[in-house]
Amino acid sequence: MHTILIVEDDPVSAEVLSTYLEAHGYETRTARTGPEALQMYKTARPDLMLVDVQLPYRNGFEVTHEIRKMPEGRDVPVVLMSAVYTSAERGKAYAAKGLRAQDFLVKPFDLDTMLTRVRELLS
Amino acid sequence: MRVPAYLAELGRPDRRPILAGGVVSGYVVTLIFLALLILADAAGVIAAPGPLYGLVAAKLVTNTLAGLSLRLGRFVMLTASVNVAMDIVVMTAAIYFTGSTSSPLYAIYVVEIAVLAMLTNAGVTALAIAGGLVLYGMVVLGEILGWWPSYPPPAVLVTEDNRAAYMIVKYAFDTVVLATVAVFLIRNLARLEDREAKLRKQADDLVEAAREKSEFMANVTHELRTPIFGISGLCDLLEAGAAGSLSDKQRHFVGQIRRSGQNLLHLVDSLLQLAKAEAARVEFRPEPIDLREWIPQVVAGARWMVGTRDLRLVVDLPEGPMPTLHSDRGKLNHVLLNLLSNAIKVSPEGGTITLFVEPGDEGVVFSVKDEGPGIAPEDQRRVFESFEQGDGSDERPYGGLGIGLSLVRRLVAVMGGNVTVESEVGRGATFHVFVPFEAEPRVADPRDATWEAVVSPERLRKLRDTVRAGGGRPTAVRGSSADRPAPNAGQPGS
Repeated sequence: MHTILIVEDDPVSAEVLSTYLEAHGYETRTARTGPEALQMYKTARPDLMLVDVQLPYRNGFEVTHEIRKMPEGRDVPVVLMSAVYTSAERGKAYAAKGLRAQDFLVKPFDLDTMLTRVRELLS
Repeated sequence: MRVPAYLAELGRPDRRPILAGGVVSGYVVTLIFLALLILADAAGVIAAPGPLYGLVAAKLVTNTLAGLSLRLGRFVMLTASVNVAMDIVVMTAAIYFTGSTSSPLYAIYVVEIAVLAMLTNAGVTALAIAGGLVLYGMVVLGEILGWWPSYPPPAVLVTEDNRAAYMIVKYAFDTVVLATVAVFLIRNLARLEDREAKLRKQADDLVEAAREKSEFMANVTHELRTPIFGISGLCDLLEAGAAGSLSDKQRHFVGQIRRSGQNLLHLVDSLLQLAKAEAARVEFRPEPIDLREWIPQVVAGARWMVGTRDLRLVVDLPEGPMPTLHSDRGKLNHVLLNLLSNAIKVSPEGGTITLFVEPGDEGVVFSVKDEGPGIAPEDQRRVFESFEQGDGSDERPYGGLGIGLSLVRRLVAVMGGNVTVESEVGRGATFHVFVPFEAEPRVADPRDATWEAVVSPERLRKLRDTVRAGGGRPTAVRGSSADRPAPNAGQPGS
């Protein structure tokens, strides 16, 4: 079973994502801040990360950057998500380079769409 | 009696310190001239010293009256006006008694211009100088016609004995005139520069404040998108059966919640775009658009707005080849969605909303026609302004923020096109958006916010003619103008 780390500060959004993913057979962990996400990454060792860009203390780009600096975090797929268009444009460019994040979703997105992307990245 | 504004200004309490300065400078200049007069008199170059001393005394009297009334705070306008008038009378008389057209004193008018321009305003200055010219003209005319005796100028009275004294007095007089004019002009210039700097700063502050407000709005609207994701996500979960299977009624309610969420998202996105347009951050990114393929997608994207209402959404695309439009897909989509959203909002049950697409020579006209209550001619301008909806009264027949059309106008301007409305009360409304085939990429100019969208029916017709002209294919006049009188026939007086 794959484990997905959700990094999301909005509790409702986090619950929606975790409920949906768990209903489709994934195990999920939820972190609410950047530092918490980094901590949790080390213990949970997720197979994929869903990272919101607007996070308290450290934004999603920074979190991804930190994860990539860890030797064990170089290859984990990261899907960034944001409700902010401008971040979305930046995030798409970021993901397009294929360096740090593999995909980008603009909120509100369709949960089905998200699931499809997640499945692709984990296959 | 009505007092002109420039005179009334003299009586204003906030002008009193300035008038007080005028009284002081009145004393200074008059006393300097008195001293020069005494010197010139002693030198024997003044033909009629008596009347000149009398004039100086009269000026000192009116100046003192002006000063007193300023102190008492009464009759300020009257005494200030009399004081200025006395300046002109004294100056003209002084010129008359020192040789009229040969007088060396003509430059004192310039002193008056400089002083008045600094201490009063354009109206008072112009009036005083006009008065001076009339009086001086009468002096000259009277001399030609022999109405009054003439006096010789000082230069004629100069002898070997008093030449040196005369030249010293003349030099002193010219210096006083020049210095007074220079002092007042320089002070005036400094005052204007100061004021301009203040205004510029105020303008900069206002622009900055407006920009900050728009940035703030953009941030707020971003924040609003987060809970909307919660709403749509929870609807997804419920419909997917995450909380057990739903009854038909429950499924219907979940659909309504989702629709409300979509509606909210649409409004939030409109606000966001409007904020960006106000902050002049909208960029135009043209790309080729295949209308035949794209338009049905746009309309499909608007179907949720209809919801459970009994409305027909119709697309009217002409047959034959469709030219490719190079424009900004995202913005055009937002424009059409806003127009469709408005049309759906105002349509009565059973109504039809039609989107016409008419390609022409220079661009494409998209028209959205509804069967709503229509917009009165006097309201047709205002509907494009932010936060207006129809008659602007509290009794709103339909909801919404009214931001959509304001946004449409700005976005269309960014695309290099324009938007017009054609409507008659009780007969629905048709919004026409003209988008050129090719437009230079540009950033929104805040000046796009100025009004230019509603055009006269004549210009609208011309626009449609232009659009149709190059097509070579006679498209039937569809939409509003086909089933109602010519736009300008029904307008005047109706």
